[in-house]
Amino acid sequence: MNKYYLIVVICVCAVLKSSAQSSWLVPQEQKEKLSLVEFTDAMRASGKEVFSVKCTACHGMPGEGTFNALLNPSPGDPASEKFQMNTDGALFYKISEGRVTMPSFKNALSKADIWNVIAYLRSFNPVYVQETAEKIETNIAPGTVLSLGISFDESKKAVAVQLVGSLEGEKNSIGGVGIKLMAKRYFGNLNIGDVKRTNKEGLSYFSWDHSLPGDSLGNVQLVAQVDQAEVYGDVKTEVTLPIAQVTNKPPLNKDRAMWNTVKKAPIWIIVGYTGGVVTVWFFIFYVLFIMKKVFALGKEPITEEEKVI
Amino acid sequence: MSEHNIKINKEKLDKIAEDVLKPVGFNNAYINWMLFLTVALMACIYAYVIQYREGLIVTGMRDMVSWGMYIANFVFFVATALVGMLISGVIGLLGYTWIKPITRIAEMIAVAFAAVAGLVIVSDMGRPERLHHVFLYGRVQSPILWDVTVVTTYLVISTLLYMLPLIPDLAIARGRMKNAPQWMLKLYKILSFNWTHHPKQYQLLFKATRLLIILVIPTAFAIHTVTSWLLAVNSRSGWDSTIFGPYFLTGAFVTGMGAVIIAVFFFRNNYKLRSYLDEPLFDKMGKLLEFVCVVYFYFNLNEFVVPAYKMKEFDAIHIHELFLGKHALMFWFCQICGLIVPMIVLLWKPFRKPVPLFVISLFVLVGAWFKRYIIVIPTMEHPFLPVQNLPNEWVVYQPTVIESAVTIGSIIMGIMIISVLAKLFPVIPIWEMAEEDEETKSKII
Repeated sequence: MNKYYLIVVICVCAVLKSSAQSSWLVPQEQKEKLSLVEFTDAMRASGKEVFSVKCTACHGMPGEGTFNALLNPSPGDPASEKFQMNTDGALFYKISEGRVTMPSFKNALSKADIWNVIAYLRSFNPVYVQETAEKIETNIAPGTVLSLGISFDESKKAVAVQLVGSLEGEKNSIGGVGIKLMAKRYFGNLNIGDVKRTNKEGLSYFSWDHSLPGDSLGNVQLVAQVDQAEVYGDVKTEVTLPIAQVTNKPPLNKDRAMWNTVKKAPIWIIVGYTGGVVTVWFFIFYVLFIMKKVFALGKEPITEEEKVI
Repeated sequence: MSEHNIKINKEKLDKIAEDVLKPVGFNNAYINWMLFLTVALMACIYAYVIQYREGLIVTGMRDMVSWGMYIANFVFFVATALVGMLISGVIGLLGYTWIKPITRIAEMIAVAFAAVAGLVIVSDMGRPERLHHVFLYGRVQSPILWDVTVVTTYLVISTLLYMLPLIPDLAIARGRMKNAPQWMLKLYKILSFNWTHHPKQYQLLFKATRLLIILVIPTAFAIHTVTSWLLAVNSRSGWDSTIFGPYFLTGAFVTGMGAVIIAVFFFRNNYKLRSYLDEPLFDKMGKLLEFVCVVYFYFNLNEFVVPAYKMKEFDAIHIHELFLGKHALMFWFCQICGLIVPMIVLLWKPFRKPVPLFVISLFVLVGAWFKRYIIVIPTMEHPFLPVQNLPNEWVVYQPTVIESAVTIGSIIMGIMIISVLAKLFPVIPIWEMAEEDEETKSKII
């Protein structure tokens, strides 16, 4: 009996261990879940209270790294980058469901409480820009011409893309439409964040990472486009903004190199090649010169005694 | 050195001139032979016309295997052409006189094969009408430009080395070939360069040839080393080797010796020159072939045993493909029939007699051609680039009929050049053979 007990324990441990090591998978539809409302200071304050009661025991104070390191899997610091990489929906799912040593808060906390905690945790992320699932009527009147505008919102540290529709000279903001933002680069564009829906003001915000390399002036060329081109048409705009990291790398063809043009070939190879060719051909022409002398000698009269043959 | 005065044995000269000049001139058999070659060449040229019109798509070369039979054939031609340097340059400068009767044959092969090598490389080009761009826009960093340069230079030096010692012979022939057609005598007159057998003319000729013989050695080394670098500057398995230069060079000596023995055997029988191209000469050529085979075997040992011992990831694929895979038959044929067996049997004198040596040389030459194929193609079939979802014909090379025809055409062209030279001019240097023996050794050095 003891033997069986031992095997069961080993098996349980193995399962726990393997589940601890594998990454925490969140179903796609849960990942995309969004708060219906925009986080407010009141929500953040309420979230802070909930956090200090329910979460601090394991996670410590956010941003201070005071989590309980002895636990497996490690609870981690909620202010850490790894934590903040989670989408709002993923955080909601993980808090609700729990796993291994992380308990499920599905029945302990209300949905509003969980969103408050998320709002509080997001306050530790300087580059976080919230996206909400507000119900927006996308009632676009027929004949409306859509246009996009890109600008940089200094206070939010985010790129704002605005979708505007104009109908008979009248301009309206259009909400609820998916927008894609990309930075231009060699060999295909770089996606900046995921597709974001425009809010009531027709705006969608893409949090901006200033470490993105730009050109020698820090310029970056941004392209915004409507995600569902088949529904809304191919609406697209491009703008160059000086918001990226100034990059001043010398071009690869600046110095003499094997791969460069002839004028910028390594000196030793130019000298070696031309030296070899000139030397050999000098002697070839010298031989031809000798033959010219042979030819000239042939014109001189010669006695029979002198002749070799 | 150049102060040496030439003494020619007049009686010997008469005898040699009569024997050597007898086969010169176009007879019926020769015209039929050339007609046959011309018809065959026309068929091959037609194949090239198709390639020129359609592009390289008619060959078996694709994106992954972009060097095929043409490049292998090019390397073979360059290799064979080097024999001119080996005979006149290396052996001549060492002071051996037994090479006298075969120097001109060796130079003939050098001229023909170097000239055709240039054409072979053009056949590999997708846009041959842009050939001059190599010179206009060539980059000094590119081994391809080096190769074009050295092949051209070697062709010029080999042609001079063939033409200069021919001058006194043409002057001799002019007086003796009364029945020759007018145009031929006129050609002899132009090419004999006002030759009056003046001792000073001989002095100048010695000086010029000595310079050329010294010059041909670095040039020939350069031509084949650069040809090896075309491959060795890549980091692909099978080419990424530091000994590729000497490996190619020694291989070229084997190939060239094979070619020269075959040619000498042919002239000995068909031109009835047995008393000059005699058995002791074959014995010497056999020994020289044995020597270059041993050296080449040594380089082969290094080239294959070292990677086969280490069996690095990509090298292992390459080595397996050669030793046991789909190229194994060709590989072992080259190594055993084209190198190891000749190397062993040539140790015995009976195998260095004309007929056995001729047969051995045939194997050596055929083995040498396939060896070039083994060097070029299997490596191309194992690119480092990740190859995924490609059609099989892109990765595996199979020469097409058109490609084979163009390659055969190049060989026919080489044979035609040799045939024309061998019937237009004497194949054995008359005046050098008639020179008084005691003086000969000091002629060059």
